[in-house]
Amino acid sequence: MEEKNLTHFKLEREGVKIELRRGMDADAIAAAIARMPMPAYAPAPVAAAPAPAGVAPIAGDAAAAPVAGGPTINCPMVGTFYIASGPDEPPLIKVGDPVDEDTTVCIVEAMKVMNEIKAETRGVIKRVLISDASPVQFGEPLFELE
Amino acid sequence: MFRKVLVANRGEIALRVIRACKELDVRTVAVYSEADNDSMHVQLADEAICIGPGPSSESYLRPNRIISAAEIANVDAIHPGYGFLSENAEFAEICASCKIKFIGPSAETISLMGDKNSARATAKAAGVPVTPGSDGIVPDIKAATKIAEEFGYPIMVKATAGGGGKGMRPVYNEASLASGFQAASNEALKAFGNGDCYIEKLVLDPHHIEFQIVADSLGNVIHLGERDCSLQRRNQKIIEECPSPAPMMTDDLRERMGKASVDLVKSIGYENCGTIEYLVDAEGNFYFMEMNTRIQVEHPITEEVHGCDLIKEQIRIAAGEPLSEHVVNSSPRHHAIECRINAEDPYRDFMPSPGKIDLFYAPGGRGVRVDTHVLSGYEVPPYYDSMIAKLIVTGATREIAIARMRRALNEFYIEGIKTTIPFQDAILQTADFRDGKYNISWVENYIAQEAALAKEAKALKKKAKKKKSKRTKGA
Repeated sequence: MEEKNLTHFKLEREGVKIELRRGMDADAIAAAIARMPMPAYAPAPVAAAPAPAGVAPIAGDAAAAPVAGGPTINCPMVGTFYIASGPDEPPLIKVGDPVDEDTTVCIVEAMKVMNEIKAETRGVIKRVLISDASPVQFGEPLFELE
Repeated sequence: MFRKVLVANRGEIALRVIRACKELDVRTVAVYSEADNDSMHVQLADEAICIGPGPSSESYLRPNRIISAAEIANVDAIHPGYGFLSENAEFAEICASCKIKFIGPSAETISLMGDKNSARATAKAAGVPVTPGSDGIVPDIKAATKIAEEFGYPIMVKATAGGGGKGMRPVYNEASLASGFQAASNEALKAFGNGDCYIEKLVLDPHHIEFQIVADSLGNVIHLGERDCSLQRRNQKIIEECPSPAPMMTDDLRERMGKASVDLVKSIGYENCGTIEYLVDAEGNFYFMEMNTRIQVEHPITEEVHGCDLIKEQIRIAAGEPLSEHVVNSSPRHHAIECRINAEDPYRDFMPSPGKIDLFYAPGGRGVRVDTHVLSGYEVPPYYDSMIAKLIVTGATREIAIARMRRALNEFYIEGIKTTIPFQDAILQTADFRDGKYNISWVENYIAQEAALAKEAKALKKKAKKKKSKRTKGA
């Protein structure tokens, strides 16, 4: 067996069944790994506010990010979400409003520039998913549509 | 020391930087593309921000998105890693204007040493030998003959407007100068509309030897010796060693190259880690090639031999601290080798091999270090370079290091994709490698040789088969 680099030999009787294998038993190892606990694959969330010193790592803030069931308008950039174009301005959009491709739904501030975010789709706003002045990342759902 | 650092990179180097930050008690922010959602660097960072879809041009190469992420996460500094934006002067400039410390040299320095011409001029001014070249355009054959005589053959005729290997001709003696000069000029005129040429001395079969330098913001500059990176395939390094085993690498040459490197770095007021790359010929003449104003992929072999953590040192320097005592007082000990493990099939012209890694078992034991972000079940994305791990081995002597590297390569189980492991293992067994006798052309020659042998073996097999069938027919 050593001569031919075999590592595995099995033999059944009666009808005879021989099984020879060479090299590492990859299948057995893969099966063992499948039984191991996998690390939790949930990306660490964005900090909404600076954590006070000495506090444990920020836990997933599930309460702040409601999961959307229907179609969503997602953020095309990284920055800070604002629902109005200025502190004294009325909100650009609210629940129940219809939107089309060119409707400005919110502002995302990135590097001191206020970017108008367009809906780029048609629908009716069902829920606003982000609170005003919160940080948002690429691909993050901002609004849920009916 | 910084409170929070953003790592503007991915894969193994992002993990490397996060590890260094954790040891310095600095909070970490990872940025990632949608293709890197499940990546280890995202898992281990304290915070993570998605900055775009898979393709680098839409994520890791977007300065604005990275700066935005840095702002909303309120970081003090950004570590750019290697590649991506690490040598992008504009990005360093934006960081500075946003009051975020770029962990590396200044934007001006990056610009200065990033341009090949100005880098050469800077090196020359600092007294560092550069490949002798004509002072500007060579107008005609008469002038070319004179210059070639001055430098000595072989020389390279290079079109000033050239690029991508076009408009270049090596000339080995005076007899072929006229035709070589004309050919280079004509090719350039045709391809770029400009046939002007200059002449450079051609360094034959050089060794690629680079020096690690470290400089703090208080004027302290040291070098940490050399790395031999001559084993390259298509200008990509595949195996690196520290120190260099090349026969002409004497203590005297090492000292002279080290001094030249420190002089250059001092002359430009460089801050943080950097590497000066040289070409060295068989006689021990060394010539400045270029400077990399960032941390290099192969930095671990210097770390193992000098007993230091270069990434932590980068962070300390950027935070205004002086060079660490243990780094300044370090002396090289033992021998280290690194193999870059790429997701490529060495038996199919190194075709990239992305896909799911079913089993990933990294070697361990004495003197074995594996820098990787990969684990079993990981899906290698198609968007980025093919390096999936760095295997670094250290031994008391070079012989021990080679035996250990062979042992480690054969203990490295990666199933589901093809890797360069068998190729690197084969190289380590050659007599040339064992004798430290290799240069920049060695890998390409080895590949060509093996291909020729395989072809010959195939032909012989076919012949033998034909003979056999002839015999049985006749029986």
